[in-house]
Amino acid sequence: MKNHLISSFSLFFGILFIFSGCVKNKGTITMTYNKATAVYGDIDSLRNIPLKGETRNIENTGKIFVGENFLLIGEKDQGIHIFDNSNTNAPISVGFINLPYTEEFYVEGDILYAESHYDFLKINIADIYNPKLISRVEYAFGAPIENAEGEVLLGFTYEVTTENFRLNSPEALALSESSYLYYNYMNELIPISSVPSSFTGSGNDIKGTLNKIAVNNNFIYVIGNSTIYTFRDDISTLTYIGENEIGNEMETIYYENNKLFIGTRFSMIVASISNPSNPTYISEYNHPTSCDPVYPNGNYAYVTLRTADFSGCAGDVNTLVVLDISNVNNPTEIDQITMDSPYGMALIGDKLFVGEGVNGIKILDATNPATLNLLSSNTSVLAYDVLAHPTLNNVILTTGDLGLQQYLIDYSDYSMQLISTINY
Amino acid sequence: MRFIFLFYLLTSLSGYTQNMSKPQEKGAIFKLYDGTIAVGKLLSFNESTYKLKIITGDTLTIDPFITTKIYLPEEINLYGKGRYSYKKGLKGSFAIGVSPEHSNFDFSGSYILNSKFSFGGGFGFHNNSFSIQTVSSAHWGNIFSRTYFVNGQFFFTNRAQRIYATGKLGYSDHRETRQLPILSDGIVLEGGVGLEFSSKNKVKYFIELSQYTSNAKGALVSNDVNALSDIEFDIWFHRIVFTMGIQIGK
Repeated sequence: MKNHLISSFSLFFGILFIFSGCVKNKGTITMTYNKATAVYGDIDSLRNIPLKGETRNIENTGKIFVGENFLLIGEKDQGIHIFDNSNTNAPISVGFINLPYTEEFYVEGDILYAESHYDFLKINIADIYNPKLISRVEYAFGAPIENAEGEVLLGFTYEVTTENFRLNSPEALALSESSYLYYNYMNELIPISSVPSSFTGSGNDIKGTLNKIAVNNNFIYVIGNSTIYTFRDDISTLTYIGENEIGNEMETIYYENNKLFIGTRFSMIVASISNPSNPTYISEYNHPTSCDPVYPNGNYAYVTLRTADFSGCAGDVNTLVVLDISNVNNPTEIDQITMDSPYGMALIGDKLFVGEGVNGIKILDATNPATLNLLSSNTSVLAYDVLAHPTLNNVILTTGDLGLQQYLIDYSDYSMQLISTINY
Repeated sequence: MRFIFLFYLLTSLSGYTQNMSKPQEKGAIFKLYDGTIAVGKLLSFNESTYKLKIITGDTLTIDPFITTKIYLPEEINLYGKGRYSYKKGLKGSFAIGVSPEHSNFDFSGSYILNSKFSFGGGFGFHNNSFSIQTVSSAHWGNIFSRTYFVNGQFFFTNRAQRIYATGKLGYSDHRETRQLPILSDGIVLEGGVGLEFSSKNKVKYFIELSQYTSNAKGALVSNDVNALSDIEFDIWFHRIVFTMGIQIGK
């Protein structure tokens, strides 16, 4: 009997043990990804390139800013295109701002803040045709990385590459966290955490306004993957203050009411800047993993969560979430509106525009910001991000595969008439 | 380490079955038209009579014309309480195998060559799933296959619960789906150990623990414009599979 019991236990635990770890997949996968190959050189020569450049074709669109009479369209790693948009029916390319290895920029009044390789720049664009550098914080986003010859890593050249990897190889694992693989001069994989955030750009590939930079008076906040960099702007001098670890996989930042609203892939984080030099975590609203622009509106915030079967964003929801943030210590979800594939948002007056990608654009009534009501759904428009014009309430800009498009809105029936397209 | 445990498991199983009853010498079973089942040692037989010594020590003389079914000593191993296992003839099996990220349903037919060997073939429906995480999405692949195979068994013991080694070699006809529009067929290999339980009727139960290996080559696609990439794969699935099944003999 004793032997029988011992045998039975051996059988049971033996099966458990063998089952515990013997599920393996071995083999290879072939994926298309963005291969970033390190470029090394003399950083001082880059810093000496004049800001003002010649107009050129748009090739790799980045951030977009809509000014009253001009448009700024980022050219990844190159700089910023300037368009005269005083006539929204016919925007004209009029110049270019050279910002080598730039990924992100932000405009506040006549000031443009921009990342450029390791540096953070403050540029006066009061005369948009003649930008002037006011201040530069060197190595703001990390210490220089050098190759064997002592040259500094300046940035990366990108190439869409299809390559074969072993399952669970470092490359395959890295591609679960980023669509980019970064290689150094020895063609060794650089962990993404070692790449200065100013080199990596935003966490998603949506062209538009989703910001990595926020400004509050004379403090500027720039998010990396898990770090907020704080700078102080003393009119003529930009100074690095410090950096704080607040969240992971941060994608976008928005300032409102002395708070920073940070969208990550998993949550919306509220950070206090009551001490503007030291942003501190207050609270967090967790949501399913997804792509999630955040748009604060007074005591409320709108978060779009976008996923689908095999979508570009993991998860299983496509909704517009309305949060009550009147108590910032406890953001509360008060409504969820089913969407098709929500991307960016823009609030024009009391109308909230939500880009739905290939599914068009939705217009919601936000007269009561807590209760959004669908007014119109226009599926003839391709709209990933949507941007409000700063002065023309009847003009909205959308980004899509065709480029940046400007539409005239007829609020009587919410129809949209295409008035111009900047192809890219 | 895992192999040490597998060895330990086999040893334990062996110890377990040592306690089980051994087959009776010249054991035979006669099922009669009136429902009687006569079980015992076959003493002699000719064309017109069978002489069977039953448990009480009495000897029965059985006319084959009053029997519905006869199991002779060369066909079965007879154990206590009238339980038996086959050692010759044909049998059919149905089995369900499970493992994390795997399931299968197999139907097979086998010829029992002797008390040690059986071999046969069959078909089944197999499912292997896997996922590949990218920054933009989790690509899930569920590969359904119609599998055709040959299999064999080698029995280590003739006790009431018989331990055996089993092997399977087959061809998997993978089914293409919307997510897996490109999929080439593959092979399947399986080897393991099992335990067959004797019973009083023709239905026997068995359990198996086996190493299952199958391969698939194809592409996982995404219809979403923001998906990082379609993913081509060439993957071998290795699974430890727990199988339960029934077999039906003569």
